[in-house]
Amino acid sequence: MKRRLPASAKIWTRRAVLLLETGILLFWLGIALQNDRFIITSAILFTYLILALMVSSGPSKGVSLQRNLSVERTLEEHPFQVNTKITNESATSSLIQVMEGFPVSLDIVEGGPHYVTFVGSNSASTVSSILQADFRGHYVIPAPSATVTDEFGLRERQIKGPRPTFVSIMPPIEDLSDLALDSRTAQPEIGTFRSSSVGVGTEFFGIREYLPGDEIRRINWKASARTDTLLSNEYEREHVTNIYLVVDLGTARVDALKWTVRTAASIATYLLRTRNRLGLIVLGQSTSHVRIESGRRQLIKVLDKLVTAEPGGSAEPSTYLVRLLEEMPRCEILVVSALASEAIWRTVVALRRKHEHVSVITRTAKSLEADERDLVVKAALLLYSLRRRATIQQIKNAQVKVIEIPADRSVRTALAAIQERPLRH
Amino acid sequence: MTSVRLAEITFLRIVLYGMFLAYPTIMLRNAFLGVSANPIVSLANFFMVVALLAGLVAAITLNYVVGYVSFLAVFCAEFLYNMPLLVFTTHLAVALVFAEGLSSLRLYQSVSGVIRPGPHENATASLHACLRRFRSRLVLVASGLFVASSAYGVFPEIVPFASGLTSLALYATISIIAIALTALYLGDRE
Repeated sequence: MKRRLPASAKIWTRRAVLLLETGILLFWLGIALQNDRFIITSAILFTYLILALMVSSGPSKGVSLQRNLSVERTLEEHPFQVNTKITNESATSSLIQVMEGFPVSLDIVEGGPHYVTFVGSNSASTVSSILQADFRGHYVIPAPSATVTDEFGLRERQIKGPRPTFVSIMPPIEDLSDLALDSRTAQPEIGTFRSSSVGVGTEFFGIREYLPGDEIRRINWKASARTDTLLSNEYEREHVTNIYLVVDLGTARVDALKWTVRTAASIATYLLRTRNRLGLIVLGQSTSHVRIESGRRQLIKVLDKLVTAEPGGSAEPSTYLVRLLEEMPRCEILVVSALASEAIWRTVVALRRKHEHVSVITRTAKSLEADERDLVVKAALLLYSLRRRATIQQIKNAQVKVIEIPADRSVRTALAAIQERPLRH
Repeated sequence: MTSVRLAEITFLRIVLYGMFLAYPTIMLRNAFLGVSANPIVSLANFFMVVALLAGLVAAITLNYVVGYVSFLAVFCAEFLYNMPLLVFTTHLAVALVFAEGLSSLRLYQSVSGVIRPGPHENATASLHACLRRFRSRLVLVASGLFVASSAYGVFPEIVPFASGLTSLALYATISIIAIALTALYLGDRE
């Protein structure tokens, strides 16, 4: 049976074993050949080993590792700090190599994956690294490990950190609070969606004569002074609405994926923070969904789904999606897609068949042909662009509004630039 | 800060290789740099050149295998030169300190290469402390080894009975004690 080494056993390094074996070999050669020079050489090797072992402090026993992160969740391309505390509780100071074990998908901004540190007796040292992730997801950072060695690297002791740590990288969420959206599926509750009728709201609608019961703060004093009649301001009524966000991740392009998830996350955050009811369907490697709900817990569910969604798939309307459509309440449907796959239009058409109010938000394809020198690539991009235009036309033919946002503009400025009511057809 | 660390490591490399290069130039000048028709001396010269080239490669790569190749080449060269015992033992001590010193530097070199400087990078000070400590310990071990190897070199001349098999047995006893001591360290596992 194979004997397992204890977790923090003191072992000799390969180099030390090589030295020792060479010494033994030379010694026996000296005996066999009756040659004093072989024996003296082996004696020199042994003397070195003994001296080095005597002089060096050796790998300490009481070394332990602890890790903590500055955040549990952060945004894409936002740096966060990883601290590894090395505690040496032994009576001797130690030379410690720390292997952080950072996953390759995390970029190291400062610090490094491999340190040597010198920790005095009964003291601690903290090594910090700054990392960042370019792409959303739940990341596991394996437990750090350390090798405590003596100065000459002849003996070492392996130490493993307690457990792995986790960090969630969220897509950046833009502030869309100043957007004015409109809905035809308004619910009776007062909310933020304009309903084109007079009532309680914040958006100015018009002026009318003062009626008994009107609030004093609604009186338009300037207009009243001009006309010598008491006039009141009227405001547009605002409601909450039901929205299903359909996110298409059927593209292989990282920038398109990032854009899709960022846009979806920003819109979802805005809609849920303004007390609307929101559901989510993700068309990725597999179709998954979050049932329509409102509130903070729903926001966490939606963001978590967006963070973990795997890209890929064909974006074809699956039986699962068809069943979901049957169960959906009357609602607005907002599709966020890079429109990279032709199949998405079939899904949009399927959605349109069941629901009256479907809009597609997509980003304008970059004009890559201009800066591309390779003719084959240029032709392929041109073909892609034409196919995409055809897809957009097919979607428009199904009476679905397509909102194109330039890729270099933020979601907020782009949606605002569309001039109001992006959900209305 | 990275350049300072690298400069420190480079300085140690140059000192070690300089020492390794200087010894044959000073002590073996007549045999090594002279012209000889003796084929054994020519073979010894060949091994000496191999040792110096391997030493250069070891100083560049900090690879311990190449370091030991240079050590063994020195052993072969000295064996073939049949130099006095004192020169033989001290040269081997120099070669061993060179090989071991360079191999021990590899760890520091690899670490200084992966650290990216910044306000949160606090390994630099530790690395400096480690290097200082390594340097002082290496000087200590090198001095001890040099003294011991000189003693091995002069021992047969100052002890009247130490000749032939008697001296062999004496060295064997010393070596066996050394083996026993190292074996004790090997057995020291928790």
